[in-house]
Amino acid sequence: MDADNQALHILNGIDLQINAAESAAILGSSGAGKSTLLGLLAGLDQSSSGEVYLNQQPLNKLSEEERAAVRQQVGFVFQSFQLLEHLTALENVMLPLELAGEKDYEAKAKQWLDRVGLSHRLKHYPRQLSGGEQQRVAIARAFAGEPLVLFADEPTGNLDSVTGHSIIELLFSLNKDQGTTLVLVTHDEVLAQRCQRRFYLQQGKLEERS
Amino acid sequence: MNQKVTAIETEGTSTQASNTKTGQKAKPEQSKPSHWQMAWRLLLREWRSGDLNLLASALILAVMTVALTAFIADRLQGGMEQQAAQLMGGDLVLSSPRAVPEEWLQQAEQQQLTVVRTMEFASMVASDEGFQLSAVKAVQSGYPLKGELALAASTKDFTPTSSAGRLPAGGEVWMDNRLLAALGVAVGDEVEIGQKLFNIREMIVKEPDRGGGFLSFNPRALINFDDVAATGVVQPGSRVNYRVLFGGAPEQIDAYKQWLKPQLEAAHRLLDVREDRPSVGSALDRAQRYLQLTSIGAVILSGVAVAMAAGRFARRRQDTVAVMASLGHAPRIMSSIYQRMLLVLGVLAALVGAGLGYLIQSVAVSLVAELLPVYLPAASWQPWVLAVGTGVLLLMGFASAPLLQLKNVSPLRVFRRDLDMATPSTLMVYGLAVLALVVLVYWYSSDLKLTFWLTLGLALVLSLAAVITLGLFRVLKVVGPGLSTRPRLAIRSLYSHRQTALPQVLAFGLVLMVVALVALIRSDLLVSWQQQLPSNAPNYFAINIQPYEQEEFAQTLDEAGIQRSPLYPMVRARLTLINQQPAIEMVPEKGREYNALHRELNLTWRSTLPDDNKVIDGRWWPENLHWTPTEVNGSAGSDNTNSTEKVIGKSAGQDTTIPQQKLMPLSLESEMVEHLGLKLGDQLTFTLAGQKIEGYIDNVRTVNWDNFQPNFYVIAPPGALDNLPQTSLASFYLPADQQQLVPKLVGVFPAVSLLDIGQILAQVRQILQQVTLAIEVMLGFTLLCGLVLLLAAVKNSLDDRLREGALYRTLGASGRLIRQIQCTEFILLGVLAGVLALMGSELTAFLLYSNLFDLDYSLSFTHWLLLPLSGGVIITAAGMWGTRQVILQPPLQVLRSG
Repeated sequence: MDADNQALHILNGIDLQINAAESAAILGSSGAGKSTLLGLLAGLDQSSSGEVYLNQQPLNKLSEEERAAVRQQVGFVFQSFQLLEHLTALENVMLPLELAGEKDYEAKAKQWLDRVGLSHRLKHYPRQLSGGEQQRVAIARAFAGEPLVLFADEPTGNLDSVTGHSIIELLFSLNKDQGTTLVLVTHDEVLAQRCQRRFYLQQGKLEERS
Repeated sequence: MNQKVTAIETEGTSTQASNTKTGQKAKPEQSKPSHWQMAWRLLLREWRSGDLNLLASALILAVMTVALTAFIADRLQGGMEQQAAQLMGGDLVLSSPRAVPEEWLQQAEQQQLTVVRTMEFASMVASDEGFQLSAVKAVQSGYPLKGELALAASTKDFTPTSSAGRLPAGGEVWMDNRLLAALGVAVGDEVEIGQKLFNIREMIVKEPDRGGGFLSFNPRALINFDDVAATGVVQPGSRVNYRVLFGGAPEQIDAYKQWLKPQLEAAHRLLDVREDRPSVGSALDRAQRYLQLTSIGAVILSGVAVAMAAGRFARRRQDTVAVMASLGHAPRIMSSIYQRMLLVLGVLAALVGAGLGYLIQSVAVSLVAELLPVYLPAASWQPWVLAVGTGVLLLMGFASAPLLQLKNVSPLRVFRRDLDMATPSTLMVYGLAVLALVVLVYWYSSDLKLTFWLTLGLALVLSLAAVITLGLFRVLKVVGPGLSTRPRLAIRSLYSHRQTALPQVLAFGLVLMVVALVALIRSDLLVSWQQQLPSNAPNYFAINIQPYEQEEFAQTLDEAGIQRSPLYPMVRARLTLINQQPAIEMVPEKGREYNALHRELNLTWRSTLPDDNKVIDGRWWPENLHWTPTEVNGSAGSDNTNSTEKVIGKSAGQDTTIPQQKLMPLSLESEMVEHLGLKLGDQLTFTLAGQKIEGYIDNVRTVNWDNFQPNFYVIAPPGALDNLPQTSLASFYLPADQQQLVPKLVGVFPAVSLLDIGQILAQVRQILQQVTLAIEVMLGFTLLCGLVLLLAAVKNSLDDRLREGALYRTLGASGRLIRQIQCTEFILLGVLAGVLALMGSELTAFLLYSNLFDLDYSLSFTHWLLLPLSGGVIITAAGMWGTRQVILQPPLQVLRSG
């Protein structure tokens, strides 16, 4: 990218392949480019050069519309939850189902909120929920679309350790049940240890460590 | 943003440092920067950040539009007044039945005004061939002050030349063609006026200030003021109209007017354009009201745009204030600094806006200068004050509340971004805005009534609209789940964003309403003027048509293919008694000088109400009513005292007890009734050459004096005046290529007086043309203001929409789907706004038409279809254009920045 007329290389010579149903953690210090890499992998952003394939689709050759279609098979969990403030918990979870044209979107959404333990919070707005609850809603929303790949960007970053721990438990248990591919960005080594593969990002370079 | 925060932080640190040193060690260079200094620095930084762009551009555009409107209105007004002054003969005219006190004239001269005295009286002018009652006008040097007196060498050569300041010398008379023809004389011959012999030196072709007296039917003789005494015609008690024409700069005229007004007596009339020329006057009056209204419309639109831009700016500054608060700087101080910054911005933007407005109008006017019917004078200084003042007031009224609210930002927001500042209290937001609006409307209109009704009307319309909108949102919410994905999501988005969607709908509705109203009134005003003065409006009046020549006169016109009015029979009589008492004693003090009491009135008879008249009291008589003169109580010389005693014996208002079947019903013009303090049932006696006409007031009607048609103060039923000496009156339209008919008519019908009102018509048309131009210009600028508000309203929800769009895309929605949802949302908003605008504009139009413009109101069915439809189209187009970024920015960038 271009910053004040100087070329700034965030990621360089990255070569990474994650297979279906695998879980992978990307680690690195702040500003190393972890979230940027995640965005590129998920087709939320575009690299200036190189190729990214998601579910065998060459993302950098697709138009935004085509990338959107690919993203229908992808789920996201963000550090800052990214819930829509003006929608209730239920409506937030219903949204991806409706966008995908699901018929029984409401029942499914309720089912997912039940699975994350929030069946009593359906009509609550995000600001009426605690951080942990908001992240649960986000997880329910991410899994509701039954994605092939789930991307999580520091999902416990905004939570205390106890809540963070329960969220991780939930994430991994649902992942196991659904057989979803999980790509996780974190700087929490303990969390990374729960993934099958760990990649370290340093100065734009990626290195897999066991 | 980090940069900004750091910069303020540095300032803050120095503030703390200096605080600790307060007292002994405080050095001048380390002294705490004042809030004003901080505001100024902040303004520069904020400006660079680009976040002030929308607020500043809304403000600059608002002020620019107001300035443009004010400059153009001011110049057009100046131009129109100049032209109207030509019709009047001076900038200000004092009319009096007695000589005007010398000291008044001296005072005017001391105040640097030009003063020209004229007097007008009726007198017989005699030649060897005969004599003719004429309107003699005596003028002093300097006449005419405004406009041009055009002369021609002889009746054979009509080529007009300007009098170029010349006047009849002593012993000279200048006459119009009618008088020459009636007296059978030509330029060079001699005539007598009273005891003095005059030599005819010029023929008058055009007289600038003839217009108002066009119903004083007598032909014109113009003599020198100093010759009046020698004629011996003017004696104590003679009926003379003294007219003093004043000329000078508007401020001087205003100052003199203020000085003179308190000294005027009931008999004096101080004339300005409105009083002296009803046709032009009411047009100007309506035009001025229209210009005021469009300015107010533009300001309301701009005000709301500023409020929306300020709201967005304040929301985006919450983080800065929270960070500063967490560093120990009270949000109250930050809010106060932002307020000051706003004021500095307001003054700067207002100056820029006013300057731009001035430049644009200069260029625009110079581009169309050649097309304009008259020269537009330079703008005065008032528009500058108005424009800059408007800018500052707008900002204070419409933008203060959201920024004041910044003082409620919690420092906790640093940790919890969901902690929004409290929404500014409704009372404060609307209270300040209404206050600013009231001040502005009053400033523009100087009309307390208009200000009150407009503010109340707007408040009512907006509250009603808000209730309806929220109700409809609720209905949509219920209907929504049964619909397909796109409308369902659009409705859910609308409903869940109702707090931001409501002001948006109201703003959109306001834009449509103001634009629709301005356009509607514009076209109705233009139509009413066109109807008033169609291209074939009568340009000649024929009066004094004797009964024996009526048929032949009508036939002559018909054979020449001339469009003419029917011949109106007319009896000229003086009002002498009211309820059998001398009229002068019966009318209130104020009405005693009323002209109708002192001259012969034209009475006519008709079975139907004239087209432009409206009965406002009583009822028009049945069409088949025929009044035979024998039944008329005391008519045609009879003197039935028994009956009159009976009438006088009844108290006021008990008209049912009056033996009406024996008295002739009369229809009277409303102003006359008002001036003379008359009421239904009052008995009136008119005298005509020793004969009496008696009747009672059966109904009162308004008359449209602007229509250049024969109009009458008093109308009787058919048959009632048959036995009285009568003449007829007709108006007709003589096309330019048939003017040769005039000498023929004058020759064949010597007793008939032909009155050419073509010049007056042409002048009135020119003025209306300017007014029309002004109105078109204002419509254009109102549209511009509407557009700015539209974009501000769209921008207001842009941040939310960007984030939502990014999330939707993250969740797999295609750009197309997002745009379709947004499109549905904007269509709903637009149609809703259109419906609200329709209701609001019909209601406001109804109130304005009846109270301000004196126009007939009728529901416009095209509007019923057009407004919701155009609302949908325009708002969808503006909305889609304004939010196109939503699918252009990479989702990750948007989500991170949020």
